[in-house]
Parts: sequence; C-alpha cells; structure tokens
Amino acid sequence: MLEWRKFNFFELKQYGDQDAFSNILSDSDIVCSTSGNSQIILGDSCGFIHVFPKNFRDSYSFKAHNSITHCELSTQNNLLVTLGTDETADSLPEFKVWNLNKLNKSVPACVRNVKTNLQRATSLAVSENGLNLAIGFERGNLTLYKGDITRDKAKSVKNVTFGTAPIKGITFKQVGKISHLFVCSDSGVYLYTIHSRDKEIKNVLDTNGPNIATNCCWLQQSSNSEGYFMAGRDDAIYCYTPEGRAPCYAFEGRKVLIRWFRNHLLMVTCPIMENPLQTKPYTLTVIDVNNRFIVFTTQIEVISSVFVEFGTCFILTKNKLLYHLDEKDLQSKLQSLYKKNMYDTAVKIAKNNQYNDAEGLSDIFKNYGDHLYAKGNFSSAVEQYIKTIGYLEPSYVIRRFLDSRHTQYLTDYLQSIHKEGKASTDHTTLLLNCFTRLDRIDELKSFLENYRQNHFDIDVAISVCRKSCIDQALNLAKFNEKHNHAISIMIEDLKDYENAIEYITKLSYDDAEKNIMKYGSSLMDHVPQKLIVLLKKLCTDYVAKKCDESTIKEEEDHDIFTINYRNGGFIDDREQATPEDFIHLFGDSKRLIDYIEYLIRNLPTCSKVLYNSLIEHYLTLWKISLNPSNERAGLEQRLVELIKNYSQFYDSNHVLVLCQTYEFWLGAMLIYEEKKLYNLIVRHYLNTKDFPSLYTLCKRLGTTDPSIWLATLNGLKSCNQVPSSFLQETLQVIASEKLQSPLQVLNVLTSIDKGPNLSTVRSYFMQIFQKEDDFIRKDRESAEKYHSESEELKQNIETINRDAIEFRSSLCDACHQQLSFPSIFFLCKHSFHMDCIRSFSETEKDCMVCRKKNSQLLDMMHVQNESRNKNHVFQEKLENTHEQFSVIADYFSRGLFNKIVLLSDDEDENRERLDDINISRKNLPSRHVEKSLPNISEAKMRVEENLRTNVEHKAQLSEGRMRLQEQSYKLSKPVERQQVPQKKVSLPITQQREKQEIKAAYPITNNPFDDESDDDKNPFKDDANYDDKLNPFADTDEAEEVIVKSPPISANPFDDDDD
Amino acid sequence: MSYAYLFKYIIIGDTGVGKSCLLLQFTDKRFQPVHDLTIGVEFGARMITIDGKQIKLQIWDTAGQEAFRSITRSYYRGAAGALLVYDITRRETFNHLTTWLEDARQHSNSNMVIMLIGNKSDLESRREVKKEEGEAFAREHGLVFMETSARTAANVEEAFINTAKEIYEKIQEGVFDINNEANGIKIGTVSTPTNPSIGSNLPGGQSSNSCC
Ligand SMILES: Nc1nc2c(ncn2[C@@H]2O[C@H](COP(=O)(O)OP(=O)(O)O)[C@@H](O)[C@H]2O)c(=O)[nH]1
Ligand SMILES: [Mg+2]
Repeated sequence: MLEWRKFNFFELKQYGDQDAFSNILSDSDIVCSTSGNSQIILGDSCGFIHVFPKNFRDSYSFKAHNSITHCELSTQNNLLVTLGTDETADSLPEFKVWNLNKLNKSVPACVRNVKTNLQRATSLAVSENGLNLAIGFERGNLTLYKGDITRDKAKSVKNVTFGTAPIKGITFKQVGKISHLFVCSDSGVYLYTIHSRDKEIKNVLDTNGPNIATNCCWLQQSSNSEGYFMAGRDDAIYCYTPEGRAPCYAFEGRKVLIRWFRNHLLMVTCPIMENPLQTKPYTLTVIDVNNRFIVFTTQIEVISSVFVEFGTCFILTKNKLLYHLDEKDLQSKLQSLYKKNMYDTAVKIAKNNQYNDAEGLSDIFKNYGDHLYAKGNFSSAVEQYIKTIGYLEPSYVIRRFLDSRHTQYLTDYLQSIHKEGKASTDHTTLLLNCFTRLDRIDELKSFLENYRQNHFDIDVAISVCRKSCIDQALNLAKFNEKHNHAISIMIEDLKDYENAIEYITKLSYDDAEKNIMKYGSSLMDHVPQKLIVLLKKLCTDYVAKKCDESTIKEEEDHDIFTINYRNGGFIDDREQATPEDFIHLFGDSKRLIDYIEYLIRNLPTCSKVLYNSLIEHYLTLWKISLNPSNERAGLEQRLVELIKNYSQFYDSNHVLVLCQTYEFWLGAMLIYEEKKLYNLIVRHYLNTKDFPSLYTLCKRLGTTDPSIWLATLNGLKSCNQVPSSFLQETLQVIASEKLQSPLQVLNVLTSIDKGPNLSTVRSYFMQIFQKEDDFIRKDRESAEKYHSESEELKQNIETINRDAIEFRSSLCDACHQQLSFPSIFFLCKHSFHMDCIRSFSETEKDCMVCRKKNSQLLDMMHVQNESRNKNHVFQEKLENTHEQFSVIADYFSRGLFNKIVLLSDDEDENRERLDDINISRKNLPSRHVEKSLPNISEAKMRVEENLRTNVEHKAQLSEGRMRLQEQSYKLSKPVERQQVPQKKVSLPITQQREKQEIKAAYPITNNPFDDESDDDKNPFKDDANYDDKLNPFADTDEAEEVIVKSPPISANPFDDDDD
Repeated sequence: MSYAYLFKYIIIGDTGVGKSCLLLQFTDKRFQPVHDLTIGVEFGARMITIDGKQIKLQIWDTAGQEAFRSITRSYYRGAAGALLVYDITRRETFNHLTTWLEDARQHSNSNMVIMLIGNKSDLESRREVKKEEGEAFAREHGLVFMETSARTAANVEEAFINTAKEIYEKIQEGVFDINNEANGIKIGTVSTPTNPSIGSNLPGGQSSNSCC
C-alpha cells in the first residue's frame, strides 16, 4: 500500500526546566488539560487545577473539585470551566466557572457552580466568547447552557440527543451570530446550529460505519477560513465543515489526540491492542496536509496532553515529562527534500514558509532543473531553469543546452530571458540564431514584433537577421527606425535601390544626409535620377516626405512651413547640406553639371569648390565634344562667360590648372590675364605661334604694363619664324619704354634661331645708338659744368682764406640805408646795421639774407646726420632692396663715412656730437677724405644715374661691400678701446691712427686718396685745426661754418677692385 | 459565492488513472505532472453555469487504492454524480471498472449519474483500451462515456459539465429529491424563481431532528 511520504522536519526535545513542572505535579496524575491565553492549565487526580504561565515557574494551583474530569477555557474572558464531582464518585457531576482574571491568593474567583442532571459526563465544551457551554453524556445526550456562562439562567438550558453512543467530543464554532456545535460520537458526527433567534437545527454530517470508533476531535483554527472540524477515527481523520463533509486523511491507528499545529496536523495514536511491555507505545505524527506528507513521526511514551501554546507545541507525557517540537530550519528541510528529488515540494514549502527570497527559490529551481536535466527530461529542466532567470547566471543554463539537439530548449530559455528583460546582446544573437537554425521563422517574427516585451538589442537583432532572413531584418530596422541598417540592407543585401532612395526621402534631414554620404555612390550607379532630385532638395530646402496618404494635407502645412523656413531658414544653415559634399558621387559630368547649375541658380551662395567642379565638368564635356559642333561652341561660350564674369566665385589657380590640363586655352588666357601672368600668355601664344593674338594682346596690355613687350621679346628667343613686323614693333616698344638694355636685346636677338634680318633690327639699334650718344654728350656737359663750378668754389675758398675781403657795400642789406657804426659784415658780403640785424633777429649770428638758405642746408644736414646713425635702418634697407648698390650710394651721398659736425655755441653739445660721430664710426669703415657738403645732392644723383646703367655691376658691388664690412669689423675694436675712455681726443689724431690701420688693408700706393690723406696736402687741414682750437666762430661772431668730411664722388672705393 | 444548486461529485477509479489531475485541471485549469498520491479524500469546487443558473460543483477526489476503499465508500453517499475513471494506457484499470461500478451502485443512491471516463487520451501511442471498448462498456451499463486528457484539458470541462447537465435534467424531470441532501444536491442560498419557498429556508432538510 502506498502511504504518506516521510520526512523529519521537526525535533522532539525535552523541555529544559523540568523540575518546576514535575514538583508541582509530584504525586498526582493528570486527568485533563487545556490551554489558551498563554497559559497551560492542568487538572490532576486530586482535584487540583494548575495554571502555568509561559515560564512555568510562576504557576499557581487551586482545588476545584474533589475529582476533576474535564476542564475548558473560554479565552475571550479568560474563564475556566471545570467539570468534576464534589462528594462521592456517584454524585452528579457539577461544573464550576472560574474567572482566572480575578485571583484571590492564587485562587481564582468561582463565579458559577452548577450541578448537572445526568450521571456521567463524557465531554465538555465552552465557546470562545463564553456564551455557550455544552456537556456531553454517556448515552449520547448533551446539555446545552446558553447565555453568559457566569450567570445562572435556568431557562436557557437545553437537552439534545445525538445518537446513542457516549459523546466523545464537542466543539463550538462561531460564524457571525450563528454558533455551530460539532458533536461526535461513535454513532456519527453531528452539527447543531444555534441561530440568534432561538432557532436551532440539528444535522447529521456523517454516520459511522461499523466498528470504526471515533476517539477524539479538534477544531482546526488555522488560517483556513473554512475551519475544519476533525474527527479522529481508527482508519482516518475525517474533516467536516458546517456545510458537510470535507477532506479526509487516511492514517491508520487509534487516535488518542489530534491537534492542529501551524498548517500541520498533529496526532497521537496508540496501538489498538495495548502491550504493557512497550515503553513507548504511543506514536506522535505530524502531517503536512497541504503537501501530503508526514513531517515528523516518533515513538513516544504514553502522552497525557499536547498544547499548542506560546508559539510552539508542548507534549506532556503521563510521567510528567515535558517535550516540545522544534521545527528545523528551512535549509535543512530543503536539503532533505533535494535528496528525495522533491523539488516541487521544496518550492511549495519554501513559499509556505514565507521564504520569499527569490534568490533562494531560484536555487531550488536550479537544483530541480539540474535533476531533471540529469534524468534527461530537458523540457521540464528548461521550465525550471526559466524560473531562475534573474538570479542564476544564464551562461550556466546556456552551456547545458548548447548541443544542437537541445536547440529547442535553448530557444525556450532564451526567449524567457528576453521576456524578463534580462537578456544581453549575446543572448539576443544566440536566440535569433536558434530561431533560424530551427527554421522557426514565425516565432522569430513574433519575437521581433513584440519588441517591447522582449527587450532585446535591436542592432544585434538586425545584424543577426541579416545573415539569415533579410526580410525580418529589414522590417525590424524600418519599424525601429534604424535607418542605417534599413538602408544598408536595402542597398547591400537586397539591391533594392528604388526603395532605398524612397526610404531615404522620408527621413529627417540629418539621417538622409548621413545615408546619402554613405550609400550615395551605389545609389548613383543605379538610380541616378532620383538621387539627384534628392540631392538637390537636400542642398536647398529639404523636407522629409511623409506617408503617402497624408501628402495632400502635408502639402498645405508644408507650404507654411517652407515660408517660415525660408524666412528664418538661412540662419540655421545646418538644415542644408553642403553641395560639394556630394560631388564625388557623380560619375557623369552632365548630371553633375545639371546638379551644380541647379544649385547655383537656387542657392544664394555657393562655394568655390562648386564652381570649380562645374568648370571642370564643362571642360570634360568640352574636351570630348566633337570639334566643330554647336555643343562645343555652346560650352565654350558658357565657360568663357563663367571664367570671365565669375572670377570671384571660383578658385582661379585650380581652374587654371584645369584649363591647362584640358587645354582650354581660351580660359587659361582669361585667367592669366586676370592674374596678370602676361608672360605665360605670351609663352602660350608663342608656342602656338599665334602672333596676331600676341600682338593685339601686347598692344592692349602694353599701355598699362609695357613689360609685356619685354616678355614677348624674351619669349621670341625660343621661337623661329617670327614675323619681322611684329619683331620690329616689339623692339620699338622696348626701346621707347627703356624696358631692356640694348645689349641684352642684342643678346636675345642673336640667340634666336635663324635670327631676324638686320633690316628688321636696324632701326632699333640706330635709335639706341642715337640715344646713347645723347646721354654721353649730356653727361660730359654736366661733368664739365660741375668741374668748373668746383673750381670756382675752390677759388672762393682760397680767396677767403688768403685775401682780404672787401666789403664794398655801403648800404645796409636790411634797410638799404647808408651803413653806419656799429655795423656787421658777414663773409657772404652782406652788411647790416647792428640795429637792423638786432631788430630782425635775436642772435646777430646769421646773415639775414643768407639765413634762410643756410638754415635749409643745416636742416638737411641734420636729417642726414640723424638717419645716417640709424645703422639698423641701413642694414634693413640693404637686405630688403634689390638694388643694394643704390642704397649704399645713397648713404654715401649722405656722408655715410664722414664726420658731419654741426658746430654751435654749446660746447657740451658739440662734444657730445663728436662722441656720437666717433661712436658711429666704430661700426663703419672710416674714410679719411674730407670734403665740403654743397654738391652732395648732385653726387647722389650721379651715382644713381650710374646705377641705372650699370645694373650688372651689382654682384661685384656686393662683394666689395662685404669686404668693407670685414674691415669695419677688424677696425672697430682697437678704435673703441682708445676712443671711448678719452672723449676729448681731437679728431685728427684718431683719424691718423685709423689711417695707419687702414693702410694695412688697402695698398696705400694704389689708394687714390693717399695723397689727400697726406696732412700737408690736405686742403682741409686747416679745417681740422679749427677743431683743435675750438670753434673760432664762437668768439668772432662770424657766419657759422660747416665742416663736412665726405668722400669725393670720383673716389669710388671700388674703382680699385674694378681694375 | 451564491449558487442555485450545489452538486456533489465523486471521482473514482484505480490509483494513477489521473483522477486528481482531472480535478486539478477542472478547478485550477492546470496540469501537474508529478501529482502526489491521494491518501484519503480531497475535494475541489468550481462554479459552472447551466441553463443560466449558477451551479456549484463540489467534487470529491478519492484514493484509488484498495486499502482506502472503505474510507472512499463513505463518500459515495451524498454524491449526485460520479466520474468513473480508467486509464486508456493501462488495461487493468479498465478491467477493474466492474468492481468500481458495483461498489458505487451499492453505496450510492440509485439516481447518481455516473460518467465513464477514459483518461490520458493524449497518450495515443500507448493506448491499450480502444475507445470503442469504453463506449461499449458505457452502453452496457447505462453510463455516459467520454475520453479525456487531464494533460491537454481535452474534454475535461465537458466531462464535468455534461454530468452536471444530466443531473440538472434529472432534477427538472423530478427524479431527484432535491430536499434530501443525501442525494448530493443542495439548493443554494439565493432565492431562485423555481424554488422561492425553499430558497428562504436554510440548507438541509433534516431539521425535524432538532429538539427544543
Ligand atoms: N499523459 C497524461 N498523464 C496523465 C494524465 N492524467 C494524469 N496523468 C499522470 O498520471 C499520474 C497519476 O495521476 P493522478 O492524478 O495522481 O492519478 P490518481 O491516483 O487517479 O489521482 C500522474 O503522474 C499524472 O502525471 C493525462 O491526461 N495524460
Ligand atoms: Mg489522486
């Protein structure tokens, strides 16, 4: 026979503090017991009642009857009802009601004492609320006392008969205002219902079969609202509700006691045939009725009572040993369940125990899954594993089902993971692969469609689907607005370009642009027309196309929108694509041209790149077009127009290169001209021997820039068959504009292959010679003139120095009156009255007539002096100019290498100035030639003239300059050493020292200045003496004299080198 | 929950034929592959509607083992309908039907409606008892026959509801004494148009036994 499964979820333990308990009950037997309100109440054979609180120590006892048979507690008012006899054993039983809340010296108040009318009472019951009391008797009759049990009310006593057997148990159950009284005896189980309005009904719930005794009963008062009344019979425990029969639990054995203990049915059975030798004749069994197994069973000595109190279950044996049942902890329960592979039960128990820790549960599921897996029951195993999702690492499960035979299970598991939202991208990939491997496209579809529930990574899903079922991938991508994927699928996998572009058209600007960038080229290959339309839109006013149905309505909105957009649109230029980004997509020039033209027409501004490409592609077309054709002409015209009139829009360098590579010279010429690269034009014309064009060009441009002629001439070098008229013309212009030195012209002409006829060039050279002659003549004339002038000056000086000066004028030059004393006579032979000069000037030092001229001269010298000292300026100029020689010459003329001393009254100032000069001389090669200034400007001019004609001397000149610098470097140090400490050293001395040193560098014999440097012969020697004696003018009030030492013009220091 | 009638059923048959599973499928609409052995008697309940009336079915699921036969027997009385179940994959369960039927007829009231059920119809491959055999047995003994599967729920609903319909018809025909609770029929607490007088009364008809 199959029976209950057995476990050991409890332990029976002896209660620790046994003494307190057994002392009280020392030599009496326990005859009855009850419990409630945290007290255990025992009645003993001596008629005593013992009340134990939780600690069992603070107990109290009192004598209730002579002998007690039953006791019951009405918990609501803590009223104890005892049933017993007072006198002899034959006397009628009486019941007493004790109020346990009213203790008087540990004896509770006895509030009622009633004698019953019948012989032997077999059972007692009192309702919880203390309003009903029933006593069952031997012969199946029962006395019911209704109303407050503490009060005597004769009227409310009622006798009812239930069969003929002794009544074994009575229980009250209160349901609202209705009181149910369950009565059981060997005859059967009865229900007596007491309605509030004195209406009472008796029902038979069950009638016993023969020979099956009912021994005990108990009312289950668990959470189960039904609340079974349980009657223990030998074969089973039968349950009842006021409605009728309820389950029954088959369990063999004579029931001594049944209790309900925390969802468990506890029963004590004894053998039907008593065996006195048995020390432990009783069996204690606890059944978990929900899970249908025995949770505890043990053999035990004779039990007198069981109490479910203080949250646990106490078992009191006849020998007054107190035990209690200890429930094992959940983990050990689960372990024992695992051992028997009862995972379902484990889960149930865990849940019943409020073991709501999902992680713990998942552990059970995992064990269960493992067990099922080991048994080969994979589908059930997966079911269990699914319950672990969220706690158990998915890889654990996945690993177990990776075998291809298990794909089905793996799929189920993975799907569940997704439903739980715990899936990683790997899981998604795996799942989708499973779907495709199993060919479960429909499931795949529904999985993908239920994106919200399934929580997967769209990107992964798309990429997995792409490999196996493109349609799904595409739908998924479209549905989830994964435009990149959608388009890439359409283009790369499906080659469905039409739809792809259609799709792109519906995208937002940013997406559309991005995707065009990516897929433009393949779209261009397949659906160029549509793409171009789209591109145009993108670059101008793109608005994503909406679904077809709403087009009309959209259009209206669209208009308003466009207007708004147009008004404010250009502020946010992000919404417009940069047209040049798309250029690379075009393979076909015509299309590109169309595209760019459209943009240029429709956009306010276009970048240079755009124009460049437009030109380039015009050129391509032009290049391939038939030579004499309308198309070519049209293109040419367009190109010319574009290049000419839109030069600011394109990048001329770029276009130039284009024109060159495409050999579109018309355009190239235009650009050359624009960029003033005339020689390139010239070269081109020469290359193509297009002399007429060259001529007109030169003619046209020559007026503004004559150098073009020169370029032409140079270009002719490499060109033969030059038409003579053209050459003549060229030479003519070159001559008249002095563009090239005749020598070079000649050079060019001779280098021309099969050079021109003499007749062609004759006129040119004749002209040149003529001109040269004129120059020479002029130069000679001026040289003579200068010569005589200087002679004159020398004469003058001589006269002033040696001869007496006659002052012949008798009139004051100021007032033109007769001179009278005091008068002043100036060396310039002007004379004034003292008064006159004073009235005109404060100083009396200047001749009033010459003053203006003198001061001008002085100013000039000042300026020169100042600028002369700015060496860095000089250096800079030298470096920056192409004509170094003229710079140096200029400086020479300003007295670069001379002391210029402006003498004034202030001695300190003079000295300072001398120092300045000395110091400045340190850095410059000193020249020892001294000469007066007057013809300085002339000298300069002449030098400049020289420069003009002798450009080719440049190289040599700079060499000379370098040597000069070298010297100056060598010289500077000693000079410095000697001059700086003694500031008052006279100039001649320093000069002499320098002279000696310089002589070492320059061969003195060759030095044309040698003679002049000789002190004796130096005409300025006296001037130098002036210095020594300090300013003579300071005392004499004579006209101020200027001493200037400058090299004579003829004394070009480089002449030597030239030799 | 109010109802017009309460019908008591009992499910009988050899152990392991799927009685508990049928009940569970009917009451909870689920299938439990590893069902614990029934030790004693368990019960379940469900509301159904017949002819627009709410009918509560109270179903007793019994242990099939011979050892519990006496316990089971006590439940025959007071049942209006019985599902006699065999397992189509185990011929012996079919062979035991006669014993079960005798037992039931002996301990129940004669009007009890008995439905013969061949369970586990989903296990077609392991079938040992042909459907025709079941039909023949039912015809022979005046039973209603049906093949069910507690696993797939096929015909489960029908089995219980058809039985209820038959009982209901018998009530309408006046075959059942609805006032005798031992017949396994109880009139509900709600007043019904058909039984206004009884409806106001309390369930149970043996009030005569009460003493005053
Ligand atoms: N395949 C299948 N198995 C069933 C069906 N009904 C019950 N079972 C199985 O049969 C076994 C016994 O079922 P159970 O309801 O406990 O039988 P009982 O003893 O008559 O209550 C259990 O393991 C069930 O899984 C069914 O309709 N189909
Ligand atoms: Mg069962």
